Amino acid sequence: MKVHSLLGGALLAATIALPLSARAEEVPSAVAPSPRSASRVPEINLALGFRSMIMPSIGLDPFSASNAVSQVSFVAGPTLLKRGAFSVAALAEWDYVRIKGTARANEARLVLHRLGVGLESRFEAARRLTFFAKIAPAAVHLGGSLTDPGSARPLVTGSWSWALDTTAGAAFMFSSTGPREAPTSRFWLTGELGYGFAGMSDMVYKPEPQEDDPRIYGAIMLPALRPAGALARGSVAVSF
Amino acid sequence: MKTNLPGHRSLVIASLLTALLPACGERDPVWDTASVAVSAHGLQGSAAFVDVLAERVLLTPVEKDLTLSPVSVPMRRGFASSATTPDGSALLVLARGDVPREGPDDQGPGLAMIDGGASPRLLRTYDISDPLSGLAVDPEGHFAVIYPSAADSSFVANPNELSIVDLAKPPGAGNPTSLTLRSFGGRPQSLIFTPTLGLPSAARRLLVVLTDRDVGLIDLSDPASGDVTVRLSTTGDRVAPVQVVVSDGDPTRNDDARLAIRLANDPSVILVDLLASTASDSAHDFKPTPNVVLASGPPSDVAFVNTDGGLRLAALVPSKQSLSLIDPATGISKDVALGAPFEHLSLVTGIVGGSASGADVALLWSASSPYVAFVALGSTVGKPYKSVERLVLEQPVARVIDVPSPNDRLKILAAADGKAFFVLDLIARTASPIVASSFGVNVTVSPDGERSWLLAPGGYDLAALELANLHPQNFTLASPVQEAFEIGRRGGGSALVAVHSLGNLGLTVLDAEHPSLETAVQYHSILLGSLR
Repeated sequence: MKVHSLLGGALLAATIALPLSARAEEVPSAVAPSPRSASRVPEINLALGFRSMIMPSIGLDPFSASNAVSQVSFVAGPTLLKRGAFSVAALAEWDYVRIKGTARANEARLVLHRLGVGLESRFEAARRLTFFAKIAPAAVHLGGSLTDPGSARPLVTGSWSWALDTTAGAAFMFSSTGPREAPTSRFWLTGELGYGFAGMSDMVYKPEPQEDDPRIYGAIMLPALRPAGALARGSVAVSF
Repeated sequence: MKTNLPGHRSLVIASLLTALLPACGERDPVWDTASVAVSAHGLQGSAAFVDVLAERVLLTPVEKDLTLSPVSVPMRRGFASSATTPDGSALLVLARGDVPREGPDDQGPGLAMIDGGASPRLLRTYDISDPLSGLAVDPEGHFAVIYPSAADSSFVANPNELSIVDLAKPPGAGNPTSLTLRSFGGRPQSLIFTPTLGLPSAARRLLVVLTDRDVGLIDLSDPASGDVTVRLSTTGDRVAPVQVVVSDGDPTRNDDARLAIRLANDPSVILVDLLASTASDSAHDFKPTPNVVLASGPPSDVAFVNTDGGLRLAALVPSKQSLSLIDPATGISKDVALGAPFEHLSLVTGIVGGSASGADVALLWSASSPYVAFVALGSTVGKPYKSVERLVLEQPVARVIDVPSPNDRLKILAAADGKAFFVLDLIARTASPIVASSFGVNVTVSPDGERSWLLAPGGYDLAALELANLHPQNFTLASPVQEAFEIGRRGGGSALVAVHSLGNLGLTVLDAEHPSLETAVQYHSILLGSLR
């Protein structure tokens, strides 16, 4: 927990520090616009990729034989501020995965939604290369289901928890449209690494409710799941 | 539209960065195990399920609102057998450990004792010297004996090796005690714990070991002193002991305790007097002195009984339709004609009351003829008994189920087909039929003696029979029921836990005192819960 806190603090500090540095370099950028600052503000960023995580939580065991979880990831948001080589972007993201496994010979499914917002600080080191740091708090919904031969309906659970992604990475522009000095759109391959923090979710299962079933069902508790761990994200992005 | 293509190096780096993280870390192997049949037990305050593949015992105390509060107690690997103490206060789980033991982390064989109350926990684990599978539990719950069983398949095994565990004491240097029975070629077949007997130097209990040819006696207060062997034949004839009964004799004397050993297909009964030992080199202060007495034919059951003439050995002889009453002092036998073959007897004097002279009343029943009989063993002129009263049933009786107080005047008689039952009132001498609609119905009686539960394993039906008025309440559950246990609830009252063996085990929990499906709580896949 202490390591998590330190890592999170360092990434948060880096995220805040980058816009401050951007202000310090504002003057030369204003005097002589460089090709690096060719993009416009506000600029819209869209990214589609995946968010992979090593999730060493025993709560994942009923659903997966390994700790690796890869989610489809969609990110969108505007660049809010640009000063020379530095810029700040806001983002909203949705990550989704559906995992199917067997828990003691019973089919087990887990659906994980992550809905987040965040801030991203960028440094354009070269025309095609940008480094960035990102912090993204989120709400995570865990929906689980278990089939049981003794039950006509699956046993289900659903719960919300908090999460916080702290990552840093690089983006490589592999294509652009428009003039080289002021492209109308830029296409990126991005990669980032970091750590995702999250709260623990109790995985308490009961048969799916049904209106015409008056019976009382008790809950069984599977290991609690914390969707936290080291993460990597890769995506294809477009800025325009 | 102008397109600016990236450099080759940029593409390579981007590809590396976007590579998937490799899969790492593996889950607990228990999630890969299929569901298997588990051993289920009813304890005082919880139902217990031995989840072998998960190396745990799952115990399910029931709250006042009929919800479960499962507790998982780890157990050693190599499950061998499990049993409850007779009062349900503890569960004993015997494990062989890792066989062979090769590493320092490998587990040795052990007997775990788990609290059977409403707050289950591991009480202690007794290390056992050898990985054996047989487990016998003392009816008084003080001792457990671990012995080789047919399931043991060691390369070399000693079938006469026993470990005796004093469950009232913690594990230590002298607990358990391992010993090898003195053998004349035999091997243990069954174990019998005697009640406390007045023996020459002190009152104590014995463990009687029936082998396939002789009988061993072990002093449970000093098992390390070994056994005393009672040889049943010295001529080479093979006689097989099949039953042992004991009598403490006069409670004021310490020299009249004796055993009776019934032999298979033999009219002879061996009476063994436990007299004071005069041998100075003997490790025991008692000396078994055998005598042979004869019944009128091969007996099917024997018991020591009190008659107006004193202590007698009662031997039921179905082939003669008689009860032989044998004077253990003289060996003289007198027969009571029963008019029908009876194979089993039990004394019911404590319930129906004996004669003024203390003579017993015996209940007789038969698996071959549809009768039960009450034999009053007081004497009348010219007869060694007072009366024989027979009741005719619709079917022979395969099993007699005792009912605890306050309804201990009742006994439930089960026919062999598991479909017909009779509630026998020992005082009113009535036999009320109870009929099930399917065969193979199991009957259990609640610990408070107020009701019995009937179910056909694999069927959906369950019935509660109020023993005060014999009113049945029928329930149809949502899943097939395999077995059911009535246990105490936290906060008072009792609950019935019906076990459904489908999938990863389901349970239906009913209020045992006021059973109703409206208040019952159903659980599914309980073996997925409370895992580490």
